[in-house]
Amino acid sequence: MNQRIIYPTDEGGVAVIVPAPECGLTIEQIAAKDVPAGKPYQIVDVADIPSDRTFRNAWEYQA
Amino acid sequence: MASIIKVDQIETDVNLTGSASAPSLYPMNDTNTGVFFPAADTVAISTGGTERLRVNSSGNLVVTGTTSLSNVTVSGTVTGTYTLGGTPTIASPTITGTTSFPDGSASAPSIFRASDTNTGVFFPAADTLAASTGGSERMRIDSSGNFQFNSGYGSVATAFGCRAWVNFNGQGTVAIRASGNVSSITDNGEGTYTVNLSTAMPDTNYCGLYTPGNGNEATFYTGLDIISSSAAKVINFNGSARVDALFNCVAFFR
Repeated sequence: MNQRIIYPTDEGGVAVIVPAPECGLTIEQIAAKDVPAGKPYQIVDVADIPSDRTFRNAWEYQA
Repeated sequence: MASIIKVDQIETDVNLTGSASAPSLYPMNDTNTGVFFPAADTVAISTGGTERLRVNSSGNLVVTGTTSLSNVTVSGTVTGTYTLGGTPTIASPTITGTTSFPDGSASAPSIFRASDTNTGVFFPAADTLAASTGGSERMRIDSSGNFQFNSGYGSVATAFGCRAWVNFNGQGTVAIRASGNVSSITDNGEGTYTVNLSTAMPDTNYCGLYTPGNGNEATFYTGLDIISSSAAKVINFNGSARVDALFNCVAFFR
C-alpha cells in the first residue's frame, strides 16, 4: 500500500500511519479506525513523506 | 377359478439366465420385474427392466450397479438412520445429514486413517474434541474452547497464542515488512511508534514484547506502553535519545 495517513500530534508534530498490507482494510477504513477521534487527517502518497528522518521530530502538519 | 401349474411346465418356462429386462422369475403381466441370474453364482433383482440389486459370487451385496467394491456397495443415495457396527470402510460418501461416532480414545480413536487405527480423532468428554497420533493424545479443544496441545511440552496443556505481531522498518521510509492482526503502525516521531490492532484484545491485560535492532546492535533500551485493548506504543531509546531501528518486532500474547 503506497499511501500514508498523516495527522497532527498534540505536541505540534506530525504522526504518520503506515497501513499493514495484510490487514485487508482500505486506507479509508484504517484512517477511520486508527486516527485518534477528532483529529484532522490527510491521505498522502508515500513519496510525499521524507525518507530523511534526521529531523523527524521537527516535522509539522500543514492542513 | 384357481390355476394349477404342473411342475414340468415351470421347468420348461423358466429361463435359467434371464436379464434385467427379461428376468427369469417375474409376476404375471410384469415381465421386466423379477429375479435373474446374470453370472455364475450370482443372483440379481430388476424392476422396470433395470437391475436394482445383486448378490455376487463373493457374497457381496451391490445396490444400484453391477460392480462390487466391498461387502456392500451402494451407488446412489442412502437415507434414514443407520448404525454401522464393526469397522466399516466407506469409500467417498456424500453425507447430507449428521453422522455420529462413538467416544473412542487416544489409543483407539473413533475416526482414524485406514490401517492406522491409533491415530485419529476422538471425543474424551462432553463438548470436547481431541486428536491422537501413535496412540497418544496430542491436542484437545476443551468445553471452554481452550486449545490445548502437546508439542514437546510433555503433556497436553493450554496453548496461549500470539494474538498479533508486526515486523517493520523504522528507518528511512518507514514500512511494514509483515504482520498479523495489525491494521497499521503510527510513526509518532524518532524511535516512537504505535501498533494498532485489527481485532482488539478482550481487555488491556495482555502482554506485549518489543525487540528493536539494527542487525549488529542489540543494546538499546526499549519500552512498551499498553494504550488500550487495540493499541500499544513502543519506544526505542539508546541511553541519550530515541532512535529509529532498522528492525522492529512486536508481538502480543493473551
